[in-house]
Amino acid sequence: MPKPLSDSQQPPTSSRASSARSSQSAGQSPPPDASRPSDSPPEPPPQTRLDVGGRALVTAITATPAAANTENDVERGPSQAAVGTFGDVDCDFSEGLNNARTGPGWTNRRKHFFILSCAGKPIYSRSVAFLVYPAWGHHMVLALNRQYADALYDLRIICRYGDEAKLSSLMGLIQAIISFFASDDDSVRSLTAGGHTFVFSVKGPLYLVAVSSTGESVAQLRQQLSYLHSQILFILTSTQLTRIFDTRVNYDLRNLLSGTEMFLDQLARSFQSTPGFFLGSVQCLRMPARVRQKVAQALSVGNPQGLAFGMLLAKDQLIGLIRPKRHSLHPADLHLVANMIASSSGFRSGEAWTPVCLPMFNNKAFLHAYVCYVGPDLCVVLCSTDKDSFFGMSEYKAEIVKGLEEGGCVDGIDEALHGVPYSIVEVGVPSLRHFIVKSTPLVQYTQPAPAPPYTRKDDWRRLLQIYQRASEALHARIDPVSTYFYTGPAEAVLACTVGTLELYAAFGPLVSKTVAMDAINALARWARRCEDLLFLGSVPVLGSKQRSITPERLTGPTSP
Amino acid sequence: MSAPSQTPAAAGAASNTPSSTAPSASTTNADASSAAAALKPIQVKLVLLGEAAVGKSSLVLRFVNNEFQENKEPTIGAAFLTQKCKLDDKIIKFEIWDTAGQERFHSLAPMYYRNAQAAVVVYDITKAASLDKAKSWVKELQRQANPNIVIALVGNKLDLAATSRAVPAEEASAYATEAGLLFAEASAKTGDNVMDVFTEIAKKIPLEQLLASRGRAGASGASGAGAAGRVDLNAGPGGRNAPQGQCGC
Ligand SMILES: Nc1nc2c(ncn2[C@@H]2O[C@H](COP(=O)(O)OP(=O)(O)OP(=O)(O)O)[C@@H](O)[C@H]2O)c(=O)[nH]1
Ligand SMILES: [Mg+2]
Repeated sequence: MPKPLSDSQQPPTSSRASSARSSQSAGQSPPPDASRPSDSPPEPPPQTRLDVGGRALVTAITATPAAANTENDVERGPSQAAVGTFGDVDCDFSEGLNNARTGPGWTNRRKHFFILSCAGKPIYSRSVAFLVYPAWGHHMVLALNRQYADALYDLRIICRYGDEAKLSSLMGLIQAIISFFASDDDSVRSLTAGGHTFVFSVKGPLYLVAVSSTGESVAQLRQQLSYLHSQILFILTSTQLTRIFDTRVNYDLRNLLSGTEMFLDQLARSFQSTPGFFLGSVQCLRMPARVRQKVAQALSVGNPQGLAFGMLLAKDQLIGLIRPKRHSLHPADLHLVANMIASSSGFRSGEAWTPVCLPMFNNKAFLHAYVCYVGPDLCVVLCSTDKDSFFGMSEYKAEIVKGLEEGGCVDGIDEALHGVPYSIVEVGVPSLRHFIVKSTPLVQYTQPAPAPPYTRKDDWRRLLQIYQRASEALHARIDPVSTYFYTGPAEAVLACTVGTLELYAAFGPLVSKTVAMDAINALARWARRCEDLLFLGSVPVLGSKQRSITPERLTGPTSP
Repeated sequence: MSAPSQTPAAAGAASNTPSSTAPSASTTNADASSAAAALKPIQVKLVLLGEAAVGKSSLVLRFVNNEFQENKEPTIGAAFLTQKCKLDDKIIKFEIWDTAGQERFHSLAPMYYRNAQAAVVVYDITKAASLDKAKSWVKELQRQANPNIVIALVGNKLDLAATSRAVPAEEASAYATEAGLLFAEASAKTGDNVMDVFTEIAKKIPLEQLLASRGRAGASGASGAGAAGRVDLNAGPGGRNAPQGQCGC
């Protein structure tokens, strides 16, 4: 008995982002934002009045097209907008949305992740502050019966205030909501209500939930939940996870995960501080090709027994990699390894040896990771299939270090890391403020050191979020665009695909699309010219007799 | 006893007498220039076990680098460190496995203690439950480790004794005597008693025997535990040239 949401007070806010989504419309008329004075009052949050009528759990599902224009939003008074009805509960949403602004129209919001077992036992819950432009919203609306509406309301309160007192009583309701989405298809397990997006995901014995008012799309939140799930597999393997819940449905997984919260926390924070997650690719340290080649040689000095993957990392940047012939290292796995190392300073004392599961490589078994810092920021990670191969790996590390020293790479790497900052100036396109270039086949990306204003955390996060939007538009399952142009009060962003490169570029807010297009083409030419410098183009393969450097990919199927 | 600051505090009893507040590691470190350095160091494999956050890594860091970090992050898996010390006319090279206390790593422990000559089982004197965990580690070691293993029970965080002690020294000490363990209370934070623990262990290990059996068997430790799948600490004939992390020796 679908019932249209006639009393929804306003059509949910249009987003200038969505109007800019299609390249045509964006190309013809400047987005409304560009003409707005930057000190205009913050817009009220998108409002949705939920209707709780019939007995049915869901009484209406309306996908509202992004139609309303910005002026509407501005005219709508805050008092009118601030009160929404959620179930029979009146709640004031204005607080928390309009405070703590860090730029015109930008507000701090929160996003909350929950993980629980299928038996309803809480496993993980974390709230993350998030900077968001309120006009970005999603417009699928559900009306639920009282019980479920209350559950969602509570989830939102937790999401907003980080108050977890109600959490355990909610677990049962989350279970019920998830099971209501009868389909096994995760893609329908989401809804947006009252300015919050709820994404539910079922992964084996685990339920994962994201509640967010950040304007990130369902697909993005789902991808983040998937990363969090991979993080749990990284710690336990799917085999162990399944076995635990097969034998004891009520097992409290927090026993086994205790002490790993820092991994999940670090990951939840990284989603909005580094673009690697939404780009699905790895940041590569820019180095002269000569040094890169030397590093590759040093990494492949031998073939120690059991070695599956070897990598040289500087923070979350990849410097060198070796991999087996038949396997490739998926960026998601590499993110998890880098995330582990970033999570604990403990790795800095001594040599570490720990089981890890790389879910994309094999989610059923552990590899054993040898981790050792060989410089202040330089870390060798060797993943072995043999749990007793610590000393073999330790020796191999010593050889790598010797090779790096003999090849004179240490200074080269150091310089690439610290000495010569990779500046936007090199590209020679003055209008550029910042950019990301991703090589699609290599699943790697590069970006210059952020220059002002992006050295400020909030500005940086805002830019990342625009990039994230752009990335989503380029890869949308339905109607992907080939060019994405956004203009806002603080900057304009142009994103497009040129051949195998994906480019994201930030400009001043008043740039014209033509100028931006010219700039991005120049950027693409520069990136192609400097490809050897920017990306790790060839990855030495383990076990091949001749340690020649083959032009194979970091990931993806190995070419025959 | 020739090493200067190694006044062996009676390790069999809880010594609350403040010993040297921060024993400098260098006092016991083998001096490279000394004649003794010409001697081949005797390798002693030592494993640290105990509940999470009792201060295992902090004790090791105090012993190896003579430093302390206020908010040390949990160990992931296990960390390997080495430290050379001089005891009388011998040089001992401790090869230390600092294991993670988190429950999920429990099943890995045998890999590290299986052919160790010494174990330091740590509890936190401000947390009663951590002594129970320590006792269960001792039991496991006595059942499954090398039968000659030297076990020291260490109550860490002695600096908090005045404010929040939860385990009386007598209780732990009595248990240690009964179970045949070395015992000491120590503080990784102040350095109290830390050196002494390792010194007492070194004194109790049959070094001569170790040396002799090494000479003969080469690859197999004195333990003789040759179970497949163990961490072969002797892998690589003699010349393991891996730079050992931060061991400073
Ligand atoms: N006051 C005080 N704090 C200590 C002492 N030793 C360690 N700590 C603190 O206790 C916490 C845990 O110390 P760790 O050395 O990481 O403990 P651990 O046993 O190695 O823990 P896991 O690696 O998780 O098994 C850290 O915050 C230390 O700073 C001590 O002697 N006194
Ligand atoms: Mg530790």
